[in-house]
Amino acid sequence: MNAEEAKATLESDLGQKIRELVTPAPRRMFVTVEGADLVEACRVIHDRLKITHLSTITGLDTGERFEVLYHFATHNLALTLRALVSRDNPILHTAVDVFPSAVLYEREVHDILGVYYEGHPDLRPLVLPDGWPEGVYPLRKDWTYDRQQGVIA
Amino acid sequence: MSTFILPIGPQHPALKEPASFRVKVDGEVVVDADLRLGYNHRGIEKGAEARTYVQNMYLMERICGICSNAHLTAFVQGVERLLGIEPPPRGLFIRCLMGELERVHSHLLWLGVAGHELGFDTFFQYTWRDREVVMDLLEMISGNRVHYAMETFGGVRRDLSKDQISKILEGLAILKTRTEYYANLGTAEPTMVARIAGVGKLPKDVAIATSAVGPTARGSGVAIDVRLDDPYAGFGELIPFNIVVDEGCDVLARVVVRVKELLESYRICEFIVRNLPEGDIRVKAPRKVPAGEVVSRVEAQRGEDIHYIRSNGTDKPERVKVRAPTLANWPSALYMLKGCYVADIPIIVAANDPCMSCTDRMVVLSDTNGSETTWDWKTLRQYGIDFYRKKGIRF
Repeated sequence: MNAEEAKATLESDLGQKIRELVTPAPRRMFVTVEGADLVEACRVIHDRLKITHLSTITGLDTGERFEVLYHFATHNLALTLRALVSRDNPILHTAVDVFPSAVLYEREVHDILGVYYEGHPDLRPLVLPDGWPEGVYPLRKDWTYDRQQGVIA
Repeated sequence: MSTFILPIGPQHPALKEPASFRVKVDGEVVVDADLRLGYNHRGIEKGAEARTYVQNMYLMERICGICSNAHLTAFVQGVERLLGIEPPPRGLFIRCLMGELERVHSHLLWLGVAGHELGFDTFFQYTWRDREVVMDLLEMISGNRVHYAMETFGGVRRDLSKDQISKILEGLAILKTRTEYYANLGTAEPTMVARIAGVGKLPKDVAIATSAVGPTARGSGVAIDVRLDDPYAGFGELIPFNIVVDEGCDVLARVVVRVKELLESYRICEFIVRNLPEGDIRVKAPRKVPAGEVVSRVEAQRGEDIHYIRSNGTDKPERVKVRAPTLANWPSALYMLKGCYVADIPIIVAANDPCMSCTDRMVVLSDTNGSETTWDWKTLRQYGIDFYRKKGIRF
């Protein structure tokens, strides 16, 4: 699968749902969709492009909205699917049904960025400690950390 | 008989790193396994946002002791793409050499750990003794046994001399002989084969569905390797490379893959030092990085290591995402645990080579040998040799 074939397939199958599609470097492609179209786009990538490897999921806060990036990889192509999520109501539908390997990565995004995944089998905390306060998400830009300075008595 | 939940970890003699398993057992057989991570979570991604790119080089290298060079390479080459600079060929060759030597030391270390988990401690002692050969080479090249600090934006920091190249070739020859012996031992020695053949089965379709990476995936017949799929650091055009795949789908297959990868790495290292291009080792890089985003991938020893970097035009990144290969292999490990015996848990977990920290080597003793309180490596080593010679042990 090369980048041109992937681009043609994505454009024919997803059509107007693609907000942006760029290939900034060889073997790299970034596709942007609305959060509501995430699972459909994943399904096209899995069923039509035959990409089975989900490398990881990045959650990111731009200050105005969240972006959740699904990084897929196959021979000679690293495809990133960007889902736009509103900051006020950060809800996505899980992609676990299409990519079972998303289960830990979505848990991590839920943990540290606070994006809720509908239909996810298990959203218990993954990386944050037990007793971490609810509704506090460290990777949001408005969360800052100040550690008490150590005092040598 | 009813089932019983067995807590393993986070601190447990059979695990080398803190991870907590809740294993549901029916007698000796594991019915279900659950995982809790985060005992080593240090907030590195958040910390990276508050540091400059140069500071982040040091931070990224310290994610892990064993794959420090892999993380640094992934970060550095991602930033290089954002900057639009390309290291000179000699820099790329030395970068590739460091990556492969790091793979050699990590795979030898893993062979030892596997031997230890199997109760074959002689194997463990042998491989770790031979691992010192590659550790000495790494120290000779970079000055450090861990955290080599060789990569920098635009190339590498240190050059190779003629003398160093001949020492590397000598070391590789020793390692090759020893590894061929282990290849024979690990795959033909009946007790070892009986212990690992058929243990920790991971069928190919499950490996694909769980997006397994590295030797775990390649031991299940999935031909994925970033060096082949997404060539970097001179792979592809400049440096030839053959992928190693085994169809066995069990722990034995993962041993075979790693031993064959060792032999392949020796070939790559030999090619690099024999065909090292002349010229500079680095180009100068600006401090500020133009706004953009990049996905950078490296084949670390344990599999695909992926960094996502978003820059905003300042000297600090907007977001750095790191996914180390170990996380990608946990879902497959949980699959492998289901249906296995309790006694097989350590080797199945170890067969994925979960990441653990390396130790520092500075030793401080308080007045056990006269007036000296601090021993350097040479003194300590000599002390060890003399100690065992006195007992009549020859080595």
